[in-house]
Amino acid sequence: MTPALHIQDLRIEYRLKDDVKVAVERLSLTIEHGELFALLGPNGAGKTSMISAMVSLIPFQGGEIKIFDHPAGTVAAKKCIGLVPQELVSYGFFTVNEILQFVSGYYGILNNQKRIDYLLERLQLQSQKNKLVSQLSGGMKRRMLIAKALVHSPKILLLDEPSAGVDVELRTILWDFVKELNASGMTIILTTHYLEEAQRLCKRTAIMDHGKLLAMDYTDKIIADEKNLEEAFLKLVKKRGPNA
Amino acid sequence: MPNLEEWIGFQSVLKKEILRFWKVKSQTVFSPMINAALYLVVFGLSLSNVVPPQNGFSYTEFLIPGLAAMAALNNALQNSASSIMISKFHGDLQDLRIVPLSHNLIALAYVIACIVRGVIVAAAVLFLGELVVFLKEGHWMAIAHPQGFILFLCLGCAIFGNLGIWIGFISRTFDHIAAFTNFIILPLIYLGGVFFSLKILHPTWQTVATFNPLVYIINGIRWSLLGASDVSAPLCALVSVLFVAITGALAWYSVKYGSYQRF
Repeated sequence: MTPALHIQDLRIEYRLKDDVKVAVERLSLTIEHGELFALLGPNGAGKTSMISAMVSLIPFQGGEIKIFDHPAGTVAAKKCIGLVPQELVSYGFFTVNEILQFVSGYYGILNNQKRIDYLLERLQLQSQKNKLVSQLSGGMKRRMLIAKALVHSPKILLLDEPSAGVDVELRTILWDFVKELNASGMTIILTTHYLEEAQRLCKRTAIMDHGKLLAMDYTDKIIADEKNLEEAFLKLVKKRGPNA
Repeated sequence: MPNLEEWIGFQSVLKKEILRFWKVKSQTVFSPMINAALYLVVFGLSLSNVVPPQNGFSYTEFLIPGLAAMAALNNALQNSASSIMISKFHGDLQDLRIVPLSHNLIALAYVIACIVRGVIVAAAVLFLGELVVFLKEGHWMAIAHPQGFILFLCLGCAIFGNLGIWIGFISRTFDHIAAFTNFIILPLIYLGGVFFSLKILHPTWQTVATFNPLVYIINGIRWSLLGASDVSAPLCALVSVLFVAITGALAWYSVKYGSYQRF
């Protein structure tokens, strides 16, 4: 079966004034269709760079990325992905509904109001539908971004720290929805700093630091003899050291 | 050739861009009208009795095509440049990178939105100008070549819309956009014959002026409205089309290789 995501020897670097900063180096991983996969790592580990390369936001300098066997950046690959970015987006001039209609259009979908209404309902944003995005709270903006990532019913959902700034109650709604999406067959790749959430939700986990993969296995196996994923994570990151 | 899905995507970008400037029409449409009205009052009314007729027309009539061109071009440039810059600040520019839309169609949608804004503003300025001529001279100003007016307006707005895309992508702050506008674009517009006929310039300066692409757009619009200009209409059209191609390539390059990252 074709994997949802296949990354081989990925290298991402940023050219600074007199220097080259390597964000991801010789990273390889494969995520199967239908997985709910956690991608963990401390700040600056290279998680967001990897996700950005997958969605063509930044170029990569080596290796390959394939989304359902389509090279990253191609129309076919782009159609497969929905991205919830880490940073909140304001969309100063537009309402929630307008943005979701525009984005549907970007994917070539006309008359997508039924899907939009469903997503707004599920994410408890129906009452905010005609409000300017800039007027929403942080948590509402985050949920709007999730709705935006799902308007075209992607096969892969990339959640880059989706629960940051979202209160406990809404986080529960969010994770229930994510589990439901995954149960329906959607592949979900999640980055988060809430490791207990990753442990609870994700069957497989990858831990990376300084652009390299430290571990990738079933979450239970990564935890192994440790108390929980957080302890296993800290042990792995500390073992590698700050300048490794 | 784009398929149906891509055309729907193109329409969405276009609709978003038009809606964006229309939502703030007090700044994007009415403000340029007030500017043009001030120019008409200050220059058209007060100087028209002093300045001799230009190309056979009263100074007020001579001024109107230039003012319409200036307002349209300036607004076309501001439309794409500020839209891209605002999107960079808000963080939504990256939407256009991750969706399955071709760079050509994205650039085209931005430019058409610039043309729409430019044409609306030019039409408003023309209406004001007609009103001033009617009140002052007791007759409406005839439009010599209406199709030519639309053509030159679209070509001019396309050039400036393309430039705005380029400026929007390379600028890192609104000050950068202002610098481009104030130090390069506005001098070219002002020296392009908005307020005077090139014939009154010293021959040396007339030669220098021929290197200003704005001369051809402004004179093309003047020819369309008045039926007379300093430069022949076919030459104006040729130079304008050439600059649409050059700036179009610049805009396409910016959309394809420019940074969509948030500031």
